[in-house]
Amino acid sequence: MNPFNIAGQDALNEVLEFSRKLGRGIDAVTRVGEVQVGCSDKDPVYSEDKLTLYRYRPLAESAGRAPILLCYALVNRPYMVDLQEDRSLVRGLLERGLDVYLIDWGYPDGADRFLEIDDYVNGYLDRCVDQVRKATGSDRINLLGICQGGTFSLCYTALHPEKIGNLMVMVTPVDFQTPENLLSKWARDIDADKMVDTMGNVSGDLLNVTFLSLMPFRLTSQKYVALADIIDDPKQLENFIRMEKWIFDSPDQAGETFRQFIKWMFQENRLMKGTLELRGKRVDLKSIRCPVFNVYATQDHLVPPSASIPLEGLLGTDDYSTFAFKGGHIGIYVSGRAKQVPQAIADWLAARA
Amino acid sequence: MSEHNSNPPWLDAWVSMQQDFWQKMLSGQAPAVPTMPGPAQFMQFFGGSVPDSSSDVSRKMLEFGEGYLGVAREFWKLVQAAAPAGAPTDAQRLQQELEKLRHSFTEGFAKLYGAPLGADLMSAWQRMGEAATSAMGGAGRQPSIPGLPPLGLTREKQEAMEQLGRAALRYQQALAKFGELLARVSGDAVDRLSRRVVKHASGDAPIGSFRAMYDLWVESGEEAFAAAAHGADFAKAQAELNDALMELRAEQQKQVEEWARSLDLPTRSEINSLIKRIGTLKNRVREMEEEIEQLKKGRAP
Repeated sequence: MNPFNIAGQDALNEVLEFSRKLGRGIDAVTRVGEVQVGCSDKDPVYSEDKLTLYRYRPLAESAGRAPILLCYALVNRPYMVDLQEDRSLVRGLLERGLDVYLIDWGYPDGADRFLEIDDYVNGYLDRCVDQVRKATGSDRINLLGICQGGTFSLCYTALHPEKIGNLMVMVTPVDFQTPENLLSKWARDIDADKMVDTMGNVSGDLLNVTFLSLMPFRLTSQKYVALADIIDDPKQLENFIRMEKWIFDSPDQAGETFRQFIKWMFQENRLMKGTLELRGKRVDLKSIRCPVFNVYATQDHLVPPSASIPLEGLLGTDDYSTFAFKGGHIGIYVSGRAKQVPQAIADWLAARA
Repeated sequence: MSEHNSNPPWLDAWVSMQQDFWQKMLSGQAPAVPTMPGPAQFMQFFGGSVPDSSSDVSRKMLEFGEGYLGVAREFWKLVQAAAPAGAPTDAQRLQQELEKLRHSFTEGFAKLYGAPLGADLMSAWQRMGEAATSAMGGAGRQPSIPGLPPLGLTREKQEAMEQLGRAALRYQQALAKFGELLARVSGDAVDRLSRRVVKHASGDAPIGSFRAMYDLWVESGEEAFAAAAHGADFAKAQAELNDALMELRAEQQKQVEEWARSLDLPTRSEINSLIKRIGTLKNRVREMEEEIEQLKKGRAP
């Protein structure tokens, strides 16, 4: 039997329709203008070096809970959590009466190359937590760590348990050496010392090439071809461009932190093994006795569920819950189902008021 | 963003050009015009009016549109081979055409496909290597007789040049090996695509569009890439490429530092020392501030 059922006229119609859409799309893209990112009003309340701590303005009557501090990854920019009005984790939390703070790490430059994980966890993050505690009069605040920021938040809560009331982590790696983790396989063979000694900071472009390499056919080709399907919808097109901006808006990574993260996490899996030390103190996740909420994405290709799920067995708390989001590492913020996440967080916090 | 439903004035002319190409292509004539203008020609329509946040997307759309139509052209050859107009299905010809597809996809992979794997990955590595060598000016030249022990007044400089030459060679070798791995992935992708096409021949759901065929190609490509990328060989080749690039950059940095020192210009090493000293001072000040805070608390009534 013939494997194809494509008549000449159908083929002609298909390629002409594609060409027409592509032409219209390129024309439309040129008229989109500069896309805006970050939709909720916020005020800077503390800054230090490249870091800025923001407090979002309320959108609803206060739910009367302790404030939430969002600790995002150093990789990519934190506006992903507040990308646009209908795709905003922050907005979802604000609408439920929560008081939301966000750390923007900024863009590290050559002067930041010697910043270590300890500087981020016991330095910047600790001072932001203290700022939020002081501003709100809360002894213990709620900490929401995202991706690498989740790993930092786990370290922080283990070392400063007296300051955190509830810990939430999203798409956060704990076991860095599971078989599905392609990034980890690649990272284990990398000579991080040589990279950092030579490059100083590690460029965001280099990281982007690595991330795109994880699914090269889909991420560097198919998604642009599929763009023809949404080209006639200005809103979807704008969303697409906004997402492109976020993907490629990648800060460089402070060299020492990169070195330590690759070696200690990916190569030695110290958090999982309980051998991580910061400022001479062991990071023992058993010290985390507050309630913990672990949100992971079932189709995450960057932080596979297998990297997040083992957290349960490492903690000292009996109050541990999970939320398995049906989607990927990015979809958890911007897909149609993403609104489930702030709702799940608000419900979980409400049950622990 | 404003609503804008009318077609741009050049669109009809462009589609007409496409129509001319594809009508000839579908009827088996050799087309005289290209499938579409390249990014440079296309951008002439817009001049400098493309906003920064859109220009990269429109460039990428053009590249991949060009690649997609190129793939469609190759697929059409397959369609014709499977059952030439008015003739029954010819399995042997289909197989032959699949072999040709392997050749064209493997050989001209990056160009044909709009650079899914080849260009984006390889050119990123190449760019990094070029940055390392071009900034060196003449420093990247090979020594006149590599391998011979350097002698005399310029001995140290000669030795440094030799090291640089060796690092450049190592990088080129690593780049070539990584390129071979990527080429193997594209070959495997075509094998997987062939198996999928054959499966459709034996099933009851024939492939009904170029887009469906393209999606099969992407699935095949991702499978082939995942099979390779999870293997130890790939990770090692990638790591070697990274290491070789770092060695090349390190040798370059040595030369630049030497040059800067000779002109009494600040070097990266000196700046690093200063940053470290400032970091130590900042920590010391912070400790003292905390001590003062504690003392104040102790004195409070």
